[in-house]
Amino acid sequence: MNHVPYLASAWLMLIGLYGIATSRNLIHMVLCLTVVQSSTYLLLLGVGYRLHATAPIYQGIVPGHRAVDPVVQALTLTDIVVEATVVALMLALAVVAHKRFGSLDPQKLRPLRG
Amino acid sequence: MSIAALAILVPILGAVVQSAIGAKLPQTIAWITTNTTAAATAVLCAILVHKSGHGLLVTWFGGWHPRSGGVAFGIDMAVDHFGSGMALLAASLVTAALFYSHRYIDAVSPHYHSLMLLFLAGMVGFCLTGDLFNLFVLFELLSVAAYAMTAYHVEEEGPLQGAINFAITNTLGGFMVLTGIGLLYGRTGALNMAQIGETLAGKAPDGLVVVAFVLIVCGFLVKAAAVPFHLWLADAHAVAPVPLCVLFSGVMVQIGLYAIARVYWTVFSGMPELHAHALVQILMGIGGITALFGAVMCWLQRHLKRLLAFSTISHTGLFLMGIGLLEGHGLAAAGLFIVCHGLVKGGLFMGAGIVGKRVGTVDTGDAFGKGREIWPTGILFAIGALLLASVPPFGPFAGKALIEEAGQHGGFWWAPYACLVASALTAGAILRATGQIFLGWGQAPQEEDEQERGQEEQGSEEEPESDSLFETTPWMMWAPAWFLVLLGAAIPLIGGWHQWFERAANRMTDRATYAGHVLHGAPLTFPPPHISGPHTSSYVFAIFSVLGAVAVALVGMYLKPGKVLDQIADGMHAIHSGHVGDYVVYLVAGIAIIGGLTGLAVT
Amino acid sequence: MSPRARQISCVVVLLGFGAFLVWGVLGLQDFGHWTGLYGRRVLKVASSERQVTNVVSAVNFDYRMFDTLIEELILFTSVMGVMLVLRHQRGEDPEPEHAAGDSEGFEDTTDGVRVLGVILIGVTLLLGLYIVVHGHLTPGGGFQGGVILGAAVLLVFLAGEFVTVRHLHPVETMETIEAVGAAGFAGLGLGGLIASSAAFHNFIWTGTSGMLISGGTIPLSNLAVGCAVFGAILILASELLEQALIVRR
Repeated sequence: MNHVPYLASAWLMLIGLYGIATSRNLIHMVLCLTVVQSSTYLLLLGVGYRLHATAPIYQGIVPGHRAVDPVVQALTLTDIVVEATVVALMLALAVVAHKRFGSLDPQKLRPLRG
Repeated sequence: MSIAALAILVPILGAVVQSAIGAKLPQTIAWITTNTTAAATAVLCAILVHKSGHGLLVTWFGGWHPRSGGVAFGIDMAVDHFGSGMALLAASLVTAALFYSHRYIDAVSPHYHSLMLLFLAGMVGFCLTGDLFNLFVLFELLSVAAYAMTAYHVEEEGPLQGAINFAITNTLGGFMVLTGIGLLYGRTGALNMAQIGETLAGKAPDGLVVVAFVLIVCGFLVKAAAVPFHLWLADAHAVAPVPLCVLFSGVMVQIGLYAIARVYWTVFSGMPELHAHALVQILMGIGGITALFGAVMCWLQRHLKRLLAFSTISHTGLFLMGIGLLEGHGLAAAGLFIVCHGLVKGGLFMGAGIVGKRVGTVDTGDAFGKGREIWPTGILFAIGALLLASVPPFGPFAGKALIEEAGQHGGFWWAPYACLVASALTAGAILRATGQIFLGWGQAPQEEDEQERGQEEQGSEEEPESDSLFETTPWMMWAPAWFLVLLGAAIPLIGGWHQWFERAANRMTDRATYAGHVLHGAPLTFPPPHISGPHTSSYVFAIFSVLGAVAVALVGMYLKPGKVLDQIADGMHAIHSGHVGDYVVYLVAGIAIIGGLTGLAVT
Repeated sequence: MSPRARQISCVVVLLGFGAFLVWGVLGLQDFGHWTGLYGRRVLKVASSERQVTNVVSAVNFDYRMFDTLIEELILFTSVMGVMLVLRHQRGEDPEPEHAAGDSEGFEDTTDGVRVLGVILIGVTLLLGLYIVVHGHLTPGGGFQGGVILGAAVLLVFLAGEFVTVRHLHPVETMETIEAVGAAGFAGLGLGGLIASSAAFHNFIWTGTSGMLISGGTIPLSNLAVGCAVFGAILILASELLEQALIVRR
């Protein structure tokens, strides 16, 4: 019970990896990549959580009140931006694949072998 | 004024300015400003190399010094010889590649210059930083710039697929690193490498630490292209423009290895059980397998750039053997070898680019015998190949000799033989290609079964990066190529090189002093390193390696492989299917196996 | 590998990897009992040192400003990458001569969408600006607010007709917006370097906590980042929507 969020994060990573490996569509593959990303966010945020604590925003509360870890939230924020931009680039590649080569199936785009 | 901060800010500002006004400048001016920025960064890195002579230069961004109890508040750059040396290598190769690309790339998109400078900024920062999360973020910066530039010729199918394979596998590697960082943060509550190391020191590793270690190491091994994480490298090299290949093979792959060494020594080396001989065996095993597998695949290639890419993979195995010994001499050897190899391989890739521009293709079958006009480039290739076959006493020989000796000293009797086979096969493959392209010796590589291989691996589909072939090779293309190869050869001839690398390794492997200085400002005291030159046996192995390379080349040119060898070759080619799903399966399998073995070794 | 072989081997391999991951994850402390040293110290001192009430902003834009700069640069890099990758698609077909109001290939937007769009655009813009500007006081900041501002412009694309609207948002302006944001952020970092010989030092007077003018360079960083993210989203949306236009033609 105590480790459920971490196990959930591990599960997300596993199904995301399965999705990427067996995908037949580039856009689906990129979205599976976002699932793997979510697993890392969940792990980070879960690690910094404190029961019965508030957000680390001291507007209206006395500083020193029990709060969750602000560092991990800052890390997740950075992380989200970084990984969203990678996804943007890969989606652009998927658009080009569809437009120029008519297919989003990684099986069909296989000029590089050996 | 903090030089380290400037070394990062200069390329960043250069990139931002380039992207804002670059489109409006005439191309030559844009190129000159970009090149100057890169050169300025190289100069700053050289200053850092000099100033880090007394041991460690620490800069805290924002002036946030660590608080009492050794709690790091801000992000620091902890610059030592190794880090600044890698940064200098990166900056120099970027400057050379930019110089080369002025004539190589026909229509330079205005974004090319900015992306190159951002790539440089990412690499320089990566080598200098002392914070683990910062390491990850810089890793992503240099990776994203690399993905974008690999897809430069996106109008062809190959670069598109190469970029996709590259992006997905390396991003997954990054996520593994991030998961490891999350686990370590959960255990230690710190992000600064010195602080994590202090917190973990002296304790026994449990499941969490082992998993974090394996995830971080495997994540960086994806970037370093070790087997079985190496599959993206050949695809990316085959399709990326040549200046990019120079950087990928010359320094980007090696940066992954640097990260493994850095993270191990600053974070994990304080835990005695993690230093177990079994762990060293695992790392040496990965290194050896990579070296041999890469060498065989290199031998099987027809496409010149893929051939050189697999040679890089094989050398990664050799570097990993040096680093995997987890002690100072192996690290110093790997450092020297990385520098020399990076320069020579960069020069060879530039040579391949020249072949592409003058002959029109980089497939050895299609270019067979057509290289007679550009025989100086042929000489460049031959020299480069012999250097990589470790002709004593030049560059790569010194590094490899030290790795062999450190390996034997560590009890791995097979290390020199593995190095011998790997270097003979890879150098032989390059010599074979040289003979075929420039001299027309031997038989032309057969037209393989079209259905089996497709045309693609042969590279004949690849359109040259311009439509028109050059009449003469511009000096801007051959000059940097020769410069890099000769510099790579000459490094061990500079006085005091051995002491320099041993000292650098010594500083890097001393975790306690590092942590003390970074967190508490304690004075630096490093024990003097123990130096010993290459032994006679190394010279013997080197001579055999060179002779072996020549023999391998002759065999390749004149003999036909038998049926059994053909089947094995087919099997190996089938693994490199080009489908990213396969790559992901191998990646996960690799992590699972390495993780399982490490778990068994440590607990 | 055949697809079937890939599926089976993937499941097998993931079972092993999963077991490995679970082994590691079980070593973490119980969920909800975080005791990290770094975070606790930051919570104690950030509010008074930096005079901000949003401690996450303090961490992001002050203590770990370098990370945020690199993150902003990654955004910049990938937007440039997208422009690089899509450049040929743009260049091939000549710039279409569309009269204003000619929405060839797109369905006419219904009145409902138009009205809702017009109402929401103003609200979204205001909300985005509020979140950017108050990032150091309440949850939010440059990144979040920038994305909301980008959403406001997407509403303009949706409610209006992309073809018409495209003339109002030439790519150069968007690139300038983004570059200004990125340069502004880097400039703040450099400013710290010059003003107090430590890059990214917060060199402006910090004011009192809870007021709009507080936190030194943090609100300025928020503005710069908001600007950059806004420009980035505009460029991304515009590039991808262009592709849709070219496909339909």
